[in-house]
Amino acid sequence: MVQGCLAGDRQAQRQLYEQYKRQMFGYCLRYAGSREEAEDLLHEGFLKIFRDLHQYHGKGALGAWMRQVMVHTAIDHLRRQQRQIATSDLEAAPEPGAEDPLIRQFESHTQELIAILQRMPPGYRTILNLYVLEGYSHKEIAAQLNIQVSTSKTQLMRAREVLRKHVEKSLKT
Amino acid sequence: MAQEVPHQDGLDEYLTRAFEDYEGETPPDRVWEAIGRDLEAAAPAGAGGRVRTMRLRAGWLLPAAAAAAAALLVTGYLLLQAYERIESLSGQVADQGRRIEQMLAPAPEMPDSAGTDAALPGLPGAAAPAREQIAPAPHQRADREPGAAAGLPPLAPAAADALAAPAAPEARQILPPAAPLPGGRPALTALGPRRAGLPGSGDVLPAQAALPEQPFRGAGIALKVSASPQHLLPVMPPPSHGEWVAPQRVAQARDLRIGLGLRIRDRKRLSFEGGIYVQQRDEQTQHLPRLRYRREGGSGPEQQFRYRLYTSGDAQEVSVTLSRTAEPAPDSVQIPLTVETRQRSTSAALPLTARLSTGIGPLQVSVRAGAVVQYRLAGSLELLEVDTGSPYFRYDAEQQPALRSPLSSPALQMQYLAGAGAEWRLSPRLSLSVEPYAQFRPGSRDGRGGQHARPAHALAGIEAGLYCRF
Repeated sequence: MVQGCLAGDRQAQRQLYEQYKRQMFGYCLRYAGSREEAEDLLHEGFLKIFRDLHQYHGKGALGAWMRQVMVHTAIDHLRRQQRQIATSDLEAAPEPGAEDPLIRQFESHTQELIAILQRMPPGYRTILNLYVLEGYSHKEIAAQLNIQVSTSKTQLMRAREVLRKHVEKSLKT
Repeated sequence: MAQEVPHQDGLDEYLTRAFEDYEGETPPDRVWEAIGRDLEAAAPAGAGGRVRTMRLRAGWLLPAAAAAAAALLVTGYLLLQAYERIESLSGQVADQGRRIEQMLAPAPEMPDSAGTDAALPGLPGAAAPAREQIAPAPHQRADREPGAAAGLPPLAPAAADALAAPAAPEARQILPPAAPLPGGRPALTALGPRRAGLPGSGDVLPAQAALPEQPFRGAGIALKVSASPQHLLPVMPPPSHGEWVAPQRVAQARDLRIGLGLRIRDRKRLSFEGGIYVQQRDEQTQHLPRLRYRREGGSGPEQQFRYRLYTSGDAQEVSVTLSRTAEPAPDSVQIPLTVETRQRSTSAALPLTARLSTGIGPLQVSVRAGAVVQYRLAGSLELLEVDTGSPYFRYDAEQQPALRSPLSSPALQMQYLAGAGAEWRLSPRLSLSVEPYAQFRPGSRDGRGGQHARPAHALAGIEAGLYCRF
């Protein structure tokens, strides 16, 4: 399948996409601010995967490599919106409330968490994802996002506060 | 949602556990359709003429720039040496030519050139018959000619008068003893170095003083300082992902450049200049009122059409999103932030220009055109400020300078410039130039997903320089 993709075989590319689309879309949903944005990330990420597949030398799982590509796609996407990192604060983050229909419409708690993440400011969301779920250090995050280490720490702290508020609110309702 | 409330310390673990077994969701079919279209389009685009930013690793680029600058200087030095050699030889040839012309031309100081020629046996012309016709009697020769007693051939009367007359005092001081020709006659150099233009005369020939002023040619070093007070033309970025966005305006931008150039000018009033300069740019970006339109469509059970209409001003930006999908989703109204982006960057550039000049006395008027290869050297410091006039967002005192790291993806940017100016010659080796110019930077793509890296724009500036000729 990989060889077919490298040769530009559209069937092989479609096969690769079908095999990993759910998993990759799940990553994109965590990093994106909306479902539409996640679709854009998935679109852009798979284009990068097909373009850079020759860089995958078979070391490690293909899915892990594709995940890295998706994460970097999300980081690049955030870089283009970089102003939102520095300007987002607690006031910019929406307060959790019972009137939030987007959260309540999901039954799965994971999907609910995704909805919470999506309503966070992009900086909070990205740093929380990178630190907690991807295992990046603050130094690595700062380097990836072109911000200071202290900024990464501050944003993570605020993201945790927002997440905790949302989770508590959701549990009460 | 899990039933237990996670503790603050366990929040990360709670989050990790929630996503461990998450299998994701199925994206709509339109995503693959869009990917397929882009893959189809990517094949010819690879060989096509899409504008792409050249990307090189920083480790290669700085040594390459240094090597290019060194090569430029060495080439200029070699050309200068060759040019000086040619100029020296040319001057020597011209001197020799003038000397020969003066030797062959009739001398105004000599009242009768035929008499001089008559004194030189073997020279062609009418001197020989004149000598034969006017030859005096031997007794007359003994009275008038100093060499007659020695049996020398007779001199013409005028030449004899000249030799018999006492020399002027300055002429006696200047004239060196002339080498005698065979037969004891003085050579033509006896006309004196003053007229023959020989070295060591200590004087300037009248013919040289009357030559027109040489054009200010040659090679030299130019010290340039230029400033660009403002960007002029916003250039619309290309559509991206089906979205059309009106151009942003760069409200203020100032460039300050300091650099060194090597200029080589030939005799045809055409000069070439290459160099390197360091540029400090300070720019502030604001949004123009703009209209954004985006339509997304698809097919299948998740058919969705979204229309977004964005309007914005300098103080605030309002976007309205209307969605109509098969899935229940609320329409949303978003009020995003409006920020002013202040960006400072330092870059190095290699400008290469050709200049066509014409001189009016000490003033040179020129037009020039060229290209600039620019490389962002030290990144940019981006200061982000929230607009305090916005009623929705408070001022965030935590202005966080974000040091972008273009060294991770450095880019070369080609620019084009054109200008005209004047150059005033201060001294034989120093001139001062003032040249307004316009510079255009075309748009580029980052080569990764087709996103435009930065909008293209044009700017105007003025450049002042000191040009010191070697």
